[in-house]
Amino acid sequence: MRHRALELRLQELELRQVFLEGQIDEAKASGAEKGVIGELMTQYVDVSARKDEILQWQKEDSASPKYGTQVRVDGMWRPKLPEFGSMEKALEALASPSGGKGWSASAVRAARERQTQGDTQEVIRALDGRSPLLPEDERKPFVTTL
Amino acid sequence: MTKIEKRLTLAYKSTLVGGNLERADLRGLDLRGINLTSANLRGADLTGANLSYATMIRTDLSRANLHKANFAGADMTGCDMTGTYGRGAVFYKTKLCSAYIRYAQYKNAFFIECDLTGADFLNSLFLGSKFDGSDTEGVKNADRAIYTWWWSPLLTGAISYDPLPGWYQLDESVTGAETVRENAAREHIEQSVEKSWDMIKGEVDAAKKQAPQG
Repeated sequence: MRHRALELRLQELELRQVFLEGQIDEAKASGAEKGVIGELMTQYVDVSARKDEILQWQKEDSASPKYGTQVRVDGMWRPKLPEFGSMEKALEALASPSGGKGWSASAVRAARERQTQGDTQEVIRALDGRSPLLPEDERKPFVTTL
Repeated sequence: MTKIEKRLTLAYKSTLVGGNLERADLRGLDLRGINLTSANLRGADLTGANLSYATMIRTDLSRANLHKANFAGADMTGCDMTGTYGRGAVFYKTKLCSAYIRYAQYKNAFFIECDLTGADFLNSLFLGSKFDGSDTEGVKNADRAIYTWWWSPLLTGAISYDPLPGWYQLDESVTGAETVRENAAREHIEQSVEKSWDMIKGEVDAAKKQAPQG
């Protein structure tokens, strides 16, 4: 995983954190008002939260990088691209009578089956209270004015 | 030598280097081993054409229709494939070094054991495409292409290019290599125009017959 913009942002946030630490210490030493110190501490917490957010994202991204992102393959940077995983499978798909294009009907069927499953209905309930699939008393009214 | 073999040999030996085939209808043709280096194939229709082992160095294929075309073993170095429609196209052991695959659609296409060194993927759609064993060193804008879709669970058919909670990840195009003819209306118009021409022709012929001889 290599994201130069994020690395720079992280560096910037670290510098800001150090700067704010100094400011807080200074304010405490000079006996500043509690409100001022509180304001600085809020800023510090905000910065550290942003930093943690980026670090968390980087951790998740390196665990399962998105397609198209650069990953290390044999020490070289290469984009991660979708694959069958094995050459036998790829060649089998290429050599199949349909030219390896016959797997999609099953994908449609699987998707349709998933849509009728209970957990999907739960998702529908959670995401859209206005779905006509819901019983009328559970359905949210439409808001017609903005 | 059979008739087909003769034709194949002719195609194999034929060369269209720098030829102008703009918007040419080359649907389902057997063009194995043809040399189309630097040719202009802008907007050409190559649906189901067999271009295996063809030499297509720096060929301009922008806006071409490559639906289910076969490019196995072809040399497509530096090809301009901007805006091409290549659903279900087969690229096996194809040289695509420095090819411009920008703003193109390659749903359920195969890029197996290809050389994609320095190719540009800017804003292309590779839903369901597979890249097994391909050399992808220096591929440009790989992060700006789309490889997966997310489907709305609300049965609305809405899609997202970013993951959303509760949405289904779609790794391939559900219609496979087949395409939905969005231009069906145009085809209908073309057919009706053809029909009306036939009617006019028929009427003219009938009038000619009825007209007094001499």
